[in-house]
Amino acid sequence: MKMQKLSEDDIRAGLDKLSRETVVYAPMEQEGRLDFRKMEKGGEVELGARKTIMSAKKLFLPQAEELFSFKAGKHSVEMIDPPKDEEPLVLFACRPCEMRALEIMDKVFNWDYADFQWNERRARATIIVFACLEPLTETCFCNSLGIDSSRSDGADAIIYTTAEGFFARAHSEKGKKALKVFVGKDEEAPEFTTRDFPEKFNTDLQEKMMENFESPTWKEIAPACIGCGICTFVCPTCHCFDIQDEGGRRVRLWDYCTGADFTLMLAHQPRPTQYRRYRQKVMHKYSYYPTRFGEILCTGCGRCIDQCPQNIDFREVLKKCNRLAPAETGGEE
Amino acid sequence: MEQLIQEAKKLLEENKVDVVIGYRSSPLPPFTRPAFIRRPEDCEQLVFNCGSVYNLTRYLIGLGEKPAIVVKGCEQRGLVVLEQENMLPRDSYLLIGVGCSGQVDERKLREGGFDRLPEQLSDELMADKCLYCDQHNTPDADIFVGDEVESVEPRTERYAGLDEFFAQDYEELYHHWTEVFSRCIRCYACRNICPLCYCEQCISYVNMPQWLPRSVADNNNYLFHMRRVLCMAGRCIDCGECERACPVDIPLRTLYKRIAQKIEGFFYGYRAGNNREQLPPLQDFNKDDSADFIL
Repeated sequence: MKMQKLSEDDIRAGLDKLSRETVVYAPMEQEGRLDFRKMEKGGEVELGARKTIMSAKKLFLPQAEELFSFKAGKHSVEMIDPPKDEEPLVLFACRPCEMRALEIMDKVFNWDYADFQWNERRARATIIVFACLEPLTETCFCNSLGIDSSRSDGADAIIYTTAEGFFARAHSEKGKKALKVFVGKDEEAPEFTTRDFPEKFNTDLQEKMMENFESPTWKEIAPACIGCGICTFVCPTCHCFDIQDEGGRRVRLWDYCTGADFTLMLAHQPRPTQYRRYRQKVMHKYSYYPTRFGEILCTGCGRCIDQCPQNIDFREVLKKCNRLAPAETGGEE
Repeated sequence: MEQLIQEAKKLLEENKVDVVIGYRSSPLPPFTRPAFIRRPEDCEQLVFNCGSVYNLTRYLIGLGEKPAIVVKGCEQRGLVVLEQENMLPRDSYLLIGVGCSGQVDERKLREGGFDRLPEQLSDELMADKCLYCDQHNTPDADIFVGDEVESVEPRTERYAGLDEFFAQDYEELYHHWTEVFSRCIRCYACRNICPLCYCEQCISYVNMPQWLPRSVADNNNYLFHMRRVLCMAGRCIDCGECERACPVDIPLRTLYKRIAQKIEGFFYGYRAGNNREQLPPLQDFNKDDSADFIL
């Protein structure tokens, strides 16, 4: 197949041009921390095989987002829409797992209610994915989630890294338009396939977990979890949010099911212990979401493993879930 | 660590404890992870080495089981504070003491691309807090396993550089920390990993009224962290877990050490958890107490 052949210089020059025409987010390093950042003049985009700390999710579901603000008059309340950001944006060099995560979340954001903030951001974004022919880190396990990271059909364009340079191909009109800023000639590209991914393990846990909801084994799944929000915040698919009033603003904020205040009500906490909260995290991803939407809410990016302060390996958690045994007596303690 | 395994096994076999909280090895840096061992036959998993970075005492409050727990010298100070604050009676756990000649700096291990722990831990790879450690062996242990570690001269000073850093004027400091906190993602790992953060309802949970807005914004982040610094005054034992856990490398210990340094100066050299008999400043009143920093 013919693809647009690009050198590193072509890419850097193209990005420079692109960032002057539109908003570009790309992996960039700051004091050793790689994250998706807005390209400013002279910014150095990471083109190598490295994983960002946070996933690209934050560009579509910001961590804190004003829904509206309000002013109370004597007999009325005035509602004010937040300023609209209508600029098109280019998301450059996210990975196939992150693209897949957006497609998976499209379902919940268009289920009973079409979330216009999400949809609007998705619509104005052009997404250029970097294929992963090898795992980025030893914690990647997207292949166990059925993802072929040598492709990303939902992306607007895909770029392959080879020893001879880069090969780019557009999947959509938006992608074609974005790739136009890069010079480079069409050349015959080699066949791209993935290699050196870890051995696959079973991730079809939907029924197993439902049948063993009361299993005492849940207590041993991740006893080291301290209930912080790191794994959910870095996750490309976790999307639970909380809505709070801050002064005169109503804001939507990332929430985390591992935290003790998640679903905490005045007098009730349906998941009063940490293992129940951890069970919620696993089951939302691998049971409830697949039941409702037919997709596992995890793409095996491994960020939860990379960033967990207590070194909890989510793959180990899932392997333990494969061995869940029914409760002997039934009922929880 | 044969002795650790044997002692743990014995405790479980004799039903002296329900669970042994220690370390097991891991293929990922820092090459150990917390272990909760409930069956005697699983005790073989237990290890203790320079990758045993986690402060496991964080798991004790609200555990609901009788534990034996592996605790390093520096971390034992936290247990003293918890006892002084009436949060954790000394007889609610069995303390397994160890000799520790330093722990790795997890970040340096990752950055250096290490695929295993070094045989000999160099000062360059060592966690900062270990370079001035004065408590290599766990005091007050019920069972001490392995050999005691001989004291070594501190290579750095506990409060090195702080006076110079905080000599900047208020505006500069405010801008510096606002900038640093701007990358905080409010995951609360610093709070949740802290052995001394045990409030059932942290002020950052309260939303009626909302004292601390949850939105990730510079002033909110600043408020969250500075409020936490005050919570740690006279309590922080410098186990360094908050800084280790932070996914965005916020140098939290700089602040917690500064407040500890101040307390030490104001209150007769008080250092949290060092001496069970010395009451924490907030629990004690002395007519000679320094009062020139308050009204």
